[in-house]
Amino acid sequence: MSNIAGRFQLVNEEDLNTCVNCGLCLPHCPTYRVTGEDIFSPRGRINLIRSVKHGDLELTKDVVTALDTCIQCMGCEPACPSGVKYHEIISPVKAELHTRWNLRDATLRCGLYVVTHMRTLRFFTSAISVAQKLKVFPQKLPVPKLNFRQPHFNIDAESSSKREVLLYTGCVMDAWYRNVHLDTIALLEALGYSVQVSGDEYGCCGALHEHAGFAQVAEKIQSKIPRPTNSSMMVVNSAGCSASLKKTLAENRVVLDINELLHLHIEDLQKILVRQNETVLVQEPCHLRHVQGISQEVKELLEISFTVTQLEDDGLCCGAGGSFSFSQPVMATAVRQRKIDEIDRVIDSISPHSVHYLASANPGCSSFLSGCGFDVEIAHPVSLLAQSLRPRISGGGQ
Amino acid sequence: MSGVVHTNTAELFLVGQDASNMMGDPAGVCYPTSTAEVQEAVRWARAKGMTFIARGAGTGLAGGAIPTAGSLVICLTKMNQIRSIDVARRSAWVEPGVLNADLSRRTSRHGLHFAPDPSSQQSCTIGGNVANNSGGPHCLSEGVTSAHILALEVVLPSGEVCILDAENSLFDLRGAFVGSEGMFGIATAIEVRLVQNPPHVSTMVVGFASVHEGAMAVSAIIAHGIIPSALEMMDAPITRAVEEYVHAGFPLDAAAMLIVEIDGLEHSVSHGSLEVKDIVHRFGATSFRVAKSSAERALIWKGRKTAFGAIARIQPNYYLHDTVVPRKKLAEVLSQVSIIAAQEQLQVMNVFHAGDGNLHPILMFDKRVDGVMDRVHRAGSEIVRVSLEAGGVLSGEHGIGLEKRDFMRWMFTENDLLFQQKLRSAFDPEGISNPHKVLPRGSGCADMSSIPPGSWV
Amino acid sequence: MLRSEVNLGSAVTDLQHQMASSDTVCIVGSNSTDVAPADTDASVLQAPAGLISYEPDELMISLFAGTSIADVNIELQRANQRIVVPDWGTIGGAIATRRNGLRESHHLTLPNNVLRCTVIAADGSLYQGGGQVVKNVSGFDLVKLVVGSWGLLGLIVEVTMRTEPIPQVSQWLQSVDPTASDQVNHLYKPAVITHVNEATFVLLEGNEQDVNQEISRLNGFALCDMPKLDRSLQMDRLHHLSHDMPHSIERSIRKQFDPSNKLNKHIATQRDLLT
Repeated sequence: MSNIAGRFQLVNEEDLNTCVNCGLCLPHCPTYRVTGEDIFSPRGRINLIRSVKHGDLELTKDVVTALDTCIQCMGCEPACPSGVKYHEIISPVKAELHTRWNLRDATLRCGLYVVTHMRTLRFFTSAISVAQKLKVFPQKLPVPKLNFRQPHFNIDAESSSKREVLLYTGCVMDAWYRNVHLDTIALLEALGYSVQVSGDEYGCCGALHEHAGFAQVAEKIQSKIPRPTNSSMMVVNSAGCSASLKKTLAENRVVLDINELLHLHIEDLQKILVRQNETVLVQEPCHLRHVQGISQEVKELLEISFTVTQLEDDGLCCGAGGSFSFSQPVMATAVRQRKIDEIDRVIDSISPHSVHYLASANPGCSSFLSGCGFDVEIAHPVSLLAQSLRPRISGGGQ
Repeated sequence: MSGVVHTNTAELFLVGQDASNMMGDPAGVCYPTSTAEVQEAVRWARAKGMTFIARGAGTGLAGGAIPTAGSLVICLTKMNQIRSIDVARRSAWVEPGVLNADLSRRTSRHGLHFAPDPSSQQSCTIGGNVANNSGGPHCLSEGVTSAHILALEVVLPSGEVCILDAENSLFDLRGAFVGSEGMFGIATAIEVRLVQNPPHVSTMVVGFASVHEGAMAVSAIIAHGIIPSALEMMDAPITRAVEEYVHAGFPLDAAAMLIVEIDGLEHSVSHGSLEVKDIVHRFGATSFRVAKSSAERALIWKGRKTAFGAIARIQPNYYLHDTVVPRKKLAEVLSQVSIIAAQEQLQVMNVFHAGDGNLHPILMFDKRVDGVMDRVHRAGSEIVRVSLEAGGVLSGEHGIGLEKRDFMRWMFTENDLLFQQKLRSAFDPEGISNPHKVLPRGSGCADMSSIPPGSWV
Repeated sequence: MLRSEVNLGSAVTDLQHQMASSDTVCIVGSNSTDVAPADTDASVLQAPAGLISYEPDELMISLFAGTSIADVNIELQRANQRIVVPDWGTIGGAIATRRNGLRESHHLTLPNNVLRCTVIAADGSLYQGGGQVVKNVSGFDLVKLVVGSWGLLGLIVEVTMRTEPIPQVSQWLQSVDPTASDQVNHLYKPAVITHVNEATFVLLEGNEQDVNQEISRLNGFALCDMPKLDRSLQMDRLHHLSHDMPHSIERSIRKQFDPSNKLNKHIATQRDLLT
């Protein structure tokens, strides 16, 4: 362990010094919220990392647990008045802790291997869908109902629009949520975009790997993402991926989250979307709200067609955290339970059964929340908006 | 009991600290979830001959939550249920671990809120508010925590449980308990008063060319018979630091800035705002702006309440002071504070509750610089001295804790302190509940034994 | 004028001597509260009267505790201010008995408005709680303890009170319709809501237009004068207190502050606080 402790030296001293121990981060940390223990708080973790780095504290099992249980939702960052760059502190530490080897880690590595190999991923997807049909697949696992075969992309090839956009299809998002891609394309085409799909050439963005602390693997994956020769905009409909790709491709192309892009066209959308007599409760993915600062945009978009209700928990994490729900199931489940209680509380406070959809812009959150037998339908905001598209007039566009 | 007392070094290291610069050395920490478990923890500590200390979110700035060597930390964060809300009576029973902001959020749909709003309100617990008799900007018109606590369920240092309220004792034990900094026992349930949300609010941001003019305007507003719901001042350095990241539209050219908020019924708000506008202009206001939306108001308050955090963007460490002076002495004491800081070659910023004369000078420093701590301590005690000389008091809302324990003699006579000690003894004859705080060392007052390392003494 | 001719500083010293040299002491104000008669052999001590300082701009007044409340309010009216205490007896008496009057529904009103008090303890020494500022958490709150302590913890000699501007309008309303009383819950921060027998009384204070607007929202209420307050209620409280756990803390406070059972024995006996 001591050699790992030595590697805590990678954490920047200035970043550590910015934390003044004020504790304003505490309620914004999901693991502190469910435990009430300082050791599971951002302030506590920073303090531990600083002390291990300075040799004031040994890297004991308790310290490792404290650091392992950080979901990296980054809810603490926007809450911090001192501007502590928490991700700069936790990322190198997480990466170093993964030099350990255990069974759960090994399984995780296999899973993360699969998502970078699209054929294998698609094979497993079909297999799971069969298992689901035969009712032999455990319902509790955080996997949505899958299709044996994915619907085909139906791109409007006739479109000669000058507004070009590349839809990043990704890994799990494409294998499990192809419908969201189709809905995205429908909306973008309705707005006059000519949409290309990135396809398997682009594959996984590496966000899951980086998040889980496999920094080197992530770097390798990210280096393989094609850098474009033209500079068309890339749009991403999974919040975790858009956050990651914005960073990876910062120097190469404009990357926008789909909610961001759609919000730019909110006035056009008001013209082409119809009003639905339904209520949507918004669940805000951490990587959208905390990392990318996109929050009210989703609400305002959905308000075009729906009655929208928000949770009152400052966008607290749902516990999914990429592969966190797999590597730290106990903590993840506790965090999810808190989210579910909050959802129930809000639903109860409106009037029973008046919420029709829970909107979540991240596949990780959707599947993790669906794994708890939730009785409200979980949908991507894009799918809800696509549902509300007016029947298209021939010729398409606006 | 011993099974649920955590003793690992990492956890003890963390619960040995709060938001002050001090460090304690506890022997164990436990997280009770009910009154009975708190009772059990207190009895367990007693049986072991240990002292104990209640802990909330650890956001205190005076070291009140720093455990003395060998004590049991009883952390109440898992007791975070709102037990009941009585909308008709405008009250609620809550557990001590409920967060201040959560309580107001949960009662908002009844049009009610918990009035004390310390800047740490998003994190701090109601239990901590009770222990420190916490304040906040809106305590100017609503009064501090003590005015909002109707009853307390308390585990006494003897291990017994009792209710302190107006109905079951002649002496106001409830009033005596609030602000006793955890030295009279542990509150395990709290009945709070809830206040109606105001139907109308007007939030004004006013710039002044000098701190003096700003301070004079504060006195004039109060003297005119207007009690704003909040009346806050920020000086130019802190305004600039805050504006940089909050973008609340604060006047950057002003030497001092006031946030004046008036709430209530329609006409009192509109008339009050007009009067404030008139007064501040008489005192040379250089800018005057009224928040046009609740979003704009929220941003102004975000800027005010997270102001001290902005300091980390300038210097890595700060020492946030807390004294109260008569309002008419504000300008004079503020200029003395800047002289003191200059003499010790420290940067100082001011962001404070001007309406009730509650100063918060913030000394900024980098503790890695040799000898800087001595200068900070010297400046700190000088600030306390000039505040007392101006007719003020040691603390308006942060409490005495360890930080100001040894300044108590500057404000009180030995006999005053003796009677404070008598009150403590009535609740805690053995001195085992959060010992060594508030009352100074020496004489018959202080508890015996060791002092936590790093104490500001 | 409130300011007294006699040297009140020496009056306090004299009281301290009397306190120290007496075995039994009965503390009185103006005897406006109908308490049981004192022991015949007790020394009767009374705080001096007079203004110490009044700073209207600070909303603060310091007084000797024997000053009559009527006199205080006359002084305060010059600056359009008031203290919210029923208009009889002495300020020390009001504090010692926590006399909130009709504002009992806000039973914290009086304690929160006492900022400082100086007390002659049973041994003749002086102790002080609080300070001359409007916000203060320095040390344990002896002020809260002394307010409502019925002279069992010492003789209050000096106090500093928070004053408040007199509102533009103060209007009492009453209704005898039991269904009408629900309406008062929808008023915004009425100064007083109180029920006397079947009637609901409400006091609205503040800006004239606001008060009129609030009045127009009430149905079945009629304008009225301030209801009469039953002074005996004050003493009743003593008999209705429970004797469970907090009682032993009270006994031990009493033992700490007055170990020889010198002060106000008749009150201490009623509350069973003799030790």
